[in-house]
Amino acid sequence: MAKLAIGTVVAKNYLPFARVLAESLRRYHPEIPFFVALADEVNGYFDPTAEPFHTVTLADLGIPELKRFTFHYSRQPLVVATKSYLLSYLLDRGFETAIFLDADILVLGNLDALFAIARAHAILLTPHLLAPLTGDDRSPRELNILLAGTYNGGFLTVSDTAPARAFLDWWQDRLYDHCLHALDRGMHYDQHWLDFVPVYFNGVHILRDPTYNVAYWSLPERNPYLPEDQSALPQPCRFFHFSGFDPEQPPAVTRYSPRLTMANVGPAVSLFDRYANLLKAAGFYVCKHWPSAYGFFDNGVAIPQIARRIYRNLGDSVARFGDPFDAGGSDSFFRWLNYPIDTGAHPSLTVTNLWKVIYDQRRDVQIAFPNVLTDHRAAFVNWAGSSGVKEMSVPRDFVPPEWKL
Amino acid sequence: MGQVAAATIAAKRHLSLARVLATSFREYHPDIPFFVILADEVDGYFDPAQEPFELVRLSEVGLPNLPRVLFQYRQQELTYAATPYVLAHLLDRGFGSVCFFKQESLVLGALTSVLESVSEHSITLTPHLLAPLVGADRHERETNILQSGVYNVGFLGVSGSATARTFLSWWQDRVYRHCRHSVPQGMHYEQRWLDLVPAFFEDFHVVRDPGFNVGHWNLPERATTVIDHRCRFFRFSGFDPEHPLEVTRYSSRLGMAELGSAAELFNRYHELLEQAGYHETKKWPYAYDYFDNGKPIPELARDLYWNLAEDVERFGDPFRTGGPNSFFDWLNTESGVAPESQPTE
Repeated sequence: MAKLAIGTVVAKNYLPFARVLAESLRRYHPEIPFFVALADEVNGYFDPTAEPFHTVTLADLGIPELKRFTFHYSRQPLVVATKSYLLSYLLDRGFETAIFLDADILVLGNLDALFAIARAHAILLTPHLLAPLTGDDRSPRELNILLAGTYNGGFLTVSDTAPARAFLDWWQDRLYDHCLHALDRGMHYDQHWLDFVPVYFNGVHILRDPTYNVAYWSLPERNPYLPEDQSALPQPCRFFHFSGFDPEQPPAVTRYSPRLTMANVGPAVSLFDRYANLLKAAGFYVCKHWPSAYGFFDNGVAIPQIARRIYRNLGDSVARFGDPFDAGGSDSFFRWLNYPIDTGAHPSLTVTNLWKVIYDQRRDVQIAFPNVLTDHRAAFVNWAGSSGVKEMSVPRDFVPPEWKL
Repeated sequence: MGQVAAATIAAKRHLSLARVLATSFREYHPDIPFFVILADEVDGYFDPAQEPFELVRLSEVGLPNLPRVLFQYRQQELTYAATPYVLAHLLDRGFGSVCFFKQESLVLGALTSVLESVSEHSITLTPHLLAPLVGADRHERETNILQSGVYNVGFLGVSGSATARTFLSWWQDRVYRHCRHSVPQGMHYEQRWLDLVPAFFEDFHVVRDPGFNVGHWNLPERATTVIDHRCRFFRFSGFDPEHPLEVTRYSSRLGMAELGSAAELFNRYHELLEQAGYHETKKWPYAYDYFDNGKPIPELARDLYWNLAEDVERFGDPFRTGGPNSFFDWLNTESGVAPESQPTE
């Protein structure tokens, strides 16, 4: 029997999700090793050796220029992008088949049949929907899937074959700096990219079995696979994906759609209830406050989204900055953001690289202040210090101290 | 295996393109009937009996509430939205399988193996790209494809199977209202919907022949298939004979210089279009651009009509301007909402 491993990725605030998944998997498959890649640092918050899984650090995964990668993304996209590297890592460790499960999945039954299918194919994907929808909202629901991607990125399998390796190389390359939520540019994190996979690679199996990876997007259509009595085990549904579920927002089923609530979700309601209790018992309230290790420059200043975007868009030229989290160095990215773009202006009218990039990206601001370096300079600085900092979520550390606000 | 039919859809201003495509197809497959569905009216501009194809009127293909569709869509949207209705119509006529070609394309060789695939599988699709791209612009080029859809409707085939019929019913339902270009809403005309096909339907076939459905999105990678005569079907998407030195209006990425001797194909196509009456037909008006009183339909009126959705039923024929309850009158009716006061200087 070929060696098989399962893995997930979390930042440490999602540790309870990984614990619950690990325990649910162990109940049915104690023989299958389960790995959790931490897209974060432990920083003393928990003891990896005491967890019900094997912890893998980002440094273990062989990600090129790791500091750069971790600076590219805020917490969620970093977690998502990391999965492509975790799958290669598991194959490199000698597992012949590697399965990725999102941390917010709960195993509800034996998966031997699934493992057999996974072993038989280079790549296995599950579509969000298995058949055309009916009902008045059929078009908007399907359009939402088209935006997000036909296949769900929360579950996929790879077997160590040339096509699977080629797929992972390609996916890693794309997710290294294009794991973005930018619907108008065709991107939905890691997921929309998967629409290419059945075309690009051989050996792809599209698993059209309604008992795997059931989630809000396929409800109520898959209600028949969720028995009313959740204590009846095993269940037809082999695993459920609680995508977007927040145990602190009980009427909502998912943060991604208002379509379903606990009042109309049907038989899944008891599953959500059970899952919320499992999360709470696994430390949900403790861990949810744990910070991402990559949220701050090393001087403690929070990294604004705009700074990550600027950094990503600079491409390979960021090599000159060295460690992007290092705020102190003379050639640091932090200093570059705060560096004036020109000399000769009165200090109170300093325009820094950060604010010039914001100007260049904001069409409305350009219209308001067309001559930004001359006639409209003072007005732009005034806008930046008052409205701009709020609209762009820029910390005060990126407001030149000489500005008279 | 029943008889095969081939088809394209065009407004009459693009009749020269349909002529060139039909003629190129018949050169290699003279036994297969080629249909041109006119998403427009003849209005005496040409004689269908003299054309190198069999003309089908849009009214024959079974679009429900046709005036509504003609009004809610612009010419390009209408031409694209008609696709699944045309395919079903030709199956209804008794053909065993149907091949659809986009009007701005050219057949360069026998399509025998593709025609076989179409008759053997419920749905046959051609992807824009067959393998990951390389080069500095690989992300941008691939995300452009994700915006427009993994599969290209320059070519699409269906057989008469139950699965194909279910597919066509679904596609018809979706494009009846959602065949617009709105990337942030997941729409790219009729094409983006096809990304759901591998999830929804079994027995679909993906053509992986690099010489089939070559277009700007897979150039310059596939230019060699043109140069060594392996290209059997080329799609001139976005090529404008008024700007014959530009590969496509949809992208400035490619110039003719990057195509090497494959660029000669554009010259050849340009000449074929001119011989087929390009300069004459391009001036022919689009029949659905006017209300029945001759006034042009503003773009905004089409958008308003589309936004009203099912509510438009109360207007009846939206092109009608006489009589009560017309959409035309509704446009000119005071809204009853007080206009915002204008700022005074």
